[in-house]
Amino acid sequence: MPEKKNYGAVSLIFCFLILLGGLAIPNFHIVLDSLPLLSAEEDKNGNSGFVQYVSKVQKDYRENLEQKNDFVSLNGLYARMSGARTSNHVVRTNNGMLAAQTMKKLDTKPFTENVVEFSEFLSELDIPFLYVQAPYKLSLDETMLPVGVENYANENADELLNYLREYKVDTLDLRPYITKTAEQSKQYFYNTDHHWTPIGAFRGGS
Amino acid sequence: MFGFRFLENFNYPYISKTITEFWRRWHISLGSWFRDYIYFPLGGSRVKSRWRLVFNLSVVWLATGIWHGANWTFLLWGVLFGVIIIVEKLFDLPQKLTKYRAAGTAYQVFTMLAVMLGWVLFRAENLTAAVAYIQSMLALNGNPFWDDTFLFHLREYIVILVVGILCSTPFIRWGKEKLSGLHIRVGQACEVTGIAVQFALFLVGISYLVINAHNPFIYFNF
Repeated sequence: MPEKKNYGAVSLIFCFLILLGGLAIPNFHIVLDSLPLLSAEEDKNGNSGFVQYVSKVQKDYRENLEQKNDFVSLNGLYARMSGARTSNHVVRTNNGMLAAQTMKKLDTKPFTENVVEFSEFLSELDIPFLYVQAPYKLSLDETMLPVGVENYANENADELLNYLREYKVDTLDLRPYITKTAEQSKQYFYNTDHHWTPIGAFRGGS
Repeated sequence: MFGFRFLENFNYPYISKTITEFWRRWHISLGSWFRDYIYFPLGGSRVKSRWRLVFNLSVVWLATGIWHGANWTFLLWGVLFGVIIIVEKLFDLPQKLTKYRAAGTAYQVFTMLAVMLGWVLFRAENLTAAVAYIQSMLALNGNPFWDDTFLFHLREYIVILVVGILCSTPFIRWGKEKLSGLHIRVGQACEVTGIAVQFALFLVGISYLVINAHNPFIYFNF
């Protein structure tokens, strides 16, 4: 007995093929725009014209896709549904804010040396210098990040300030006034980026 | 697909009980090619001498390693699997292990470990990186076997992990067959649902490619 055709499945596949066409056709210009690279000379890395063309098309597709924001929204929806807390080096904190991850412990000595040199230069001109440590949105009480997520922003800043104080550079650390607790961070920073709110700016200024 | 019939190339390799079985399930077209054009012309397993069998398998696995690329990691990867398969063939392990459940299960765990460690070797830039990675996996690099960061990332990717494990087994095919047996409409509904889920996953996959073009100001939906 012949197998009964699943017209529902066939229809669905055709719908998806049409949807794929809808994604591909408006973006087809990306494939055409870079065609001159096919006849390009080898670049400084020894890549042939074809390799350069493929790399450029991949990069342009990623960055200039017509439906880019729709895919970002889809990714966000998937992240919410799966309970994910990180995406592309951005973490959702325990109080619902977004914070970029500083995943490396930096050697702040080179930065210190530059600041000290600048401070000494100004001192020779009798110009007072004050290094102000702007706060990062992650609070000093370390309650904002989920367990297991490490962030070195405050640690890097602590080390930098310690070095500067060793060299007798005047410093003002705003972090205890603006990001001492998670509640302060919530009040003085915007949820989705690293900027202060007007209240946060007023607090920092005063 | 559109009337074309393609031979299956992967047949649930991660349920394999031995390395020999794994390579009968993984990249079947490649394995078949090496079998038909190198192994069989050399005599295959129908040789009088055990040393000849070892030689034949060694040639095949050296060739398999080199085929993947000009790097010591690929060569060593091929050699390691060649050694394991030679041991399995010489001691007839696949046949013997089916008789003892505990031993068979233990060897299946060993098989999966060997495959996973093999993939690390396969994908490493060089041998040094591969050794360091494997040392870290086994907590031999001054790191704990697990810590809070590991647990966090396990929670982050638990959905993908569970779905991946389920799809690596015939569980879904078994489920579809059971449901299809209830009623033809149920079977058709399963097929339609499967297609929709696969397409949704395809779009989610594209979304991950898109967000890797870093733009830190578009996470408002996250």
